[in-house]
Amino acid sequence: MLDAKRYASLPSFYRLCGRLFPWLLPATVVLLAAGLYWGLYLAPTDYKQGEAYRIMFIHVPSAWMSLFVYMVMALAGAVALVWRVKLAELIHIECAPIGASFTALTLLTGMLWGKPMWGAFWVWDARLTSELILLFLYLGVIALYSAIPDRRKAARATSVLAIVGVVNIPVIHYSVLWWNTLHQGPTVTRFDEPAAHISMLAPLLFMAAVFNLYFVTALLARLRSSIAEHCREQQWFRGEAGIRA
Amino acid sequence: MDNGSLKVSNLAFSRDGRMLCEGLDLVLRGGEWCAVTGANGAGKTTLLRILCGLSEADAGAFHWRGLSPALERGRYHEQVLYIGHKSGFRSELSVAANLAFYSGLGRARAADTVAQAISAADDFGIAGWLDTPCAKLSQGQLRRASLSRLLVERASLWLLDEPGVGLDDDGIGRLERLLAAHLERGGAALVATHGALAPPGRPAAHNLRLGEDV
Amino acid sequence: MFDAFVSLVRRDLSAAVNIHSNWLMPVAFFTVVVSLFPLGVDADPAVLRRLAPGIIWIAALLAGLLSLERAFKDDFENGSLEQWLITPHGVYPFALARIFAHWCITGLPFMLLAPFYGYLLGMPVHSLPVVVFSLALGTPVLSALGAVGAALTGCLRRGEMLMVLLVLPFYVPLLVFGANAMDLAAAGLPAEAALAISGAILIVTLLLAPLAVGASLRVMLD
Repeated sequence: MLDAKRYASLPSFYRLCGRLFPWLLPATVVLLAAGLYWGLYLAPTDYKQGEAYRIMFIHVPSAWMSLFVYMVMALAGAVALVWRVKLAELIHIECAPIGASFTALTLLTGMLWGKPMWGAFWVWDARLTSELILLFLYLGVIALYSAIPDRRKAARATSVLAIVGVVNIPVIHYSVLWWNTLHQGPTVTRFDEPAAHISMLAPLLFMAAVFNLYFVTALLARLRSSIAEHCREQQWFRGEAGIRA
Repeated sequence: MDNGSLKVSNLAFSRDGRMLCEGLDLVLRGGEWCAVTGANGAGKTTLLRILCGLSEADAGAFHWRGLSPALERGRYHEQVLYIGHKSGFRSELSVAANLAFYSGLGRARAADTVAQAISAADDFGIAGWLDTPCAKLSQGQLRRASLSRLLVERASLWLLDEPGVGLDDDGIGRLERLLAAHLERGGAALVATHGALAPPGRPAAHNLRLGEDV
Repeated sequence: MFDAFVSLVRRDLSAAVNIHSNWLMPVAFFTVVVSLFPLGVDADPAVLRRLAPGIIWIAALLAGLLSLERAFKDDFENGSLEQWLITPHGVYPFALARIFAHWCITGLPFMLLAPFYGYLLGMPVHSLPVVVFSLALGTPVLSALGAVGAALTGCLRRGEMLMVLLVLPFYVPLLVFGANAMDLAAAGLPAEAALAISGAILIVTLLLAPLAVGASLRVMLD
């Protein structure tokens, strides 16, 4: 059967996801709870921003992740385009909703942080604006994917889009910084990153690691169900799932 | 190694996740043509689109005169001409303008100058409406116009998808004579067809029926 | 390869000239959008002068996008696109030619009209050369990036809104540096820095965008 070659890695990857997920899920939950406890409770109060700065422990790692996931998405897309690896297509497209969620979380926490800092939920701050545009880029990928009926074609089309996006993101970010320094009056207080004292930096880095772990867990869960959907008619999957013909 | 032939080995292709053909082997020498038949949806168009380099096969390989579109894209396309269901002619431009456009795209021309090359298209009986915008042509006329690219451009392998659709008896006759002359010159052709196509003195060397041997 | 480029540009432009709406519509749209702003915002010259660079650029982006929507649709429907993909030259010269032809019927007239509109919106005369220059550097990027979006959505049934959603975020640098150069010039400050960055973006975009258009068309016609 030809499918065996084409989908070769899918069955083994499906089983790998199945084996890893029961370990990854509890680990993510426990470590996330520990990280939140560390950041929101144990870490010292900032002398300038008081308790409000603690939202940083969610905001900053999630901002890092929003960019990182886009890179992963574009990289998987490039692999899918060049080598036509089916698994890469799935990884590429399953990254999009996760990355969009991280971007939305960044915007949301940024607005919550903005209220005590600027006195308003939204000001046209450079980093928030870049993040908003990143959200548009993610939404574009998701919208294009859902507009093309053929799934494989859709994944390859969004791969092109994501690669164009990766080339553009630094330019967009730089242009927003440029715009921001020229248009913002000096009265607006900028985000004051708390001094990187070790007692604050440690929980921040820990949370960043936990967010990465969450990304892997969520990606594997999504991949497992999308492989199931793609291969539901195939012999190996029906055997796996105990479906009688 | 025989460089004058189309070699298809172990080709497999699918459409929308449905397997259409597996393990297809075919050798077509210069001067031979192959009729591709099969029910609607059997994969005739898909096969031709793979051979002309528009789509990719799931497995297998093929070469024309030792060239493959994956490795020597430009040189392969110099040799191969694909005429599909769609004419490829812009409706607001005249037949002559469309032919002139295609004759300037890097394939060998029937004559040195574009104008002379276009006059070769007269053989298809389109001389009367060379200057008519394509929007005003009937389906059959448009089909004749797009097939006259076979006269204007010089490609050694023809991939024709249902070339007879919309043609009258006269048009079919001209197409058959054209195909025979092409084979005489040492060219080859793969023709997807429902009706019988009988180039004078040149019966199909192969008859590939899709959708049965799977 | 150059022949292919020239013959497609000629084919596109002769088609555009034959059908007046093809080249008149973007210019008319550009004009109408610019003239609506004073009605919607304020006719106070001081306010308009502040907003003029943004108005001109946003009008150019929207008018450019409007005409991009059909950039590949007709050629998809009549089968030209698939023939481009299988010519000896490959699709690159066609992508570049389509971008250039689109620029000729949008960016070029916008560029020539913008100083008049800038003047009507109260921009100082000494800043008008920068208005032209900024559009000269920016509008080809508009056409090139827009062509990528058009190639990805051109074969879809309701691709118009989707194309706008895909492409507009990519226009942010264009808008920022383009409007900023005009802004600085209007304030009597040197605009070279913003123009230089626009120029750099233009060069990189013109090199890479045809590749992305080609890849998109190859995927969409598979």
